[in-house]
Amino acid sequence: MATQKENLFKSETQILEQSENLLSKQDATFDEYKDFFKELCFNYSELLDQTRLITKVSDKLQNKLNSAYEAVEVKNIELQNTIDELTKARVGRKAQTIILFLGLSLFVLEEIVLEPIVDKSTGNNIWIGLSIKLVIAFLLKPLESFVEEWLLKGVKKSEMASVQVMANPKLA
Amino acid sequence: MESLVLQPTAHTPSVSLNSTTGVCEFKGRSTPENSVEYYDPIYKWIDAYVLNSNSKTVVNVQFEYFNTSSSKCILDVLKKFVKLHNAGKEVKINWFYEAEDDDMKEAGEDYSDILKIPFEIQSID
Repeated sequence: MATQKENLFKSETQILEQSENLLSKQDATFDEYKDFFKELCFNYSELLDQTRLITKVSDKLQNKLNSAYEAVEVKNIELQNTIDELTKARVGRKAQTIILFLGLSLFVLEEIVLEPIVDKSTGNNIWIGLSIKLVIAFLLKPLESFVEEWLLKGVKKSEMASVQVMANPKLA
Repeated sequence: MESLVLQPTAHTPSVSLNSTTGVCEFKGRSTPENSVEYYDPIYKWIDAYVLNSNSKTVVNVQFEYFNTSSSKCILDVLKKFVKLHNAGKEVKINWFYEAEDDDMKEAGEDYSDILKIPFEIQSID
């Protein structure tokens, strides 16, 4: 890279070397100095123009990079939101399935195990059996939320672990 | 004198320098890893062309993007055409930029200010 920079400013470096050579010359005449100074002024002017141009180009490049970075950041946030929504939907469906099976199992258990006991001890009071079924039904929604939260925590935990592995492959 | 044609890559522009027609074209992106190495054959071709040039030379430049070191190399390339102009030959530089690319338009204006030769900045759709 250093070589490239040296070559990139090859002519400018040569002019500097010529100036230094003239300065170290003991027998240089006034006219020699004057002619060289004139040339040096011209080259300095060119170099100044060049510096202005390169600085402007460099600033514009930085602005373009900043804009691109900001656009990437916005897209990243949008992407993360979409991923979060998809994960939530997937986890929600999973939680619904679990609760459906749990609900069915509870109703079947209530019917087979609890109902005969209740009937025996309360003398066929249908309201108690119905109340138990209602309690099970009302419990299903909070249970679904709990299962969903629990599954989401698991997903986030595994995501964090994979991010850590990506950051430090030695953990894999 | 043979023409110089360089095919474009992801980091280098397409270059077509035709000594017969006197039309020199640069088009695309210029972000080579080593700008000096990339532009060196172009410098050499122009130096040789200046010695035996057409009466009229047209330089068409249409960059999408260039990095800082390329901006210096492009300036050095265009300065070689200024030498040709100063030697009494007809030289015209056409700087094309995409309609919405204000940065490229401004870059063209900056080059035009420095070079002080016939320099036309044109927008393309």
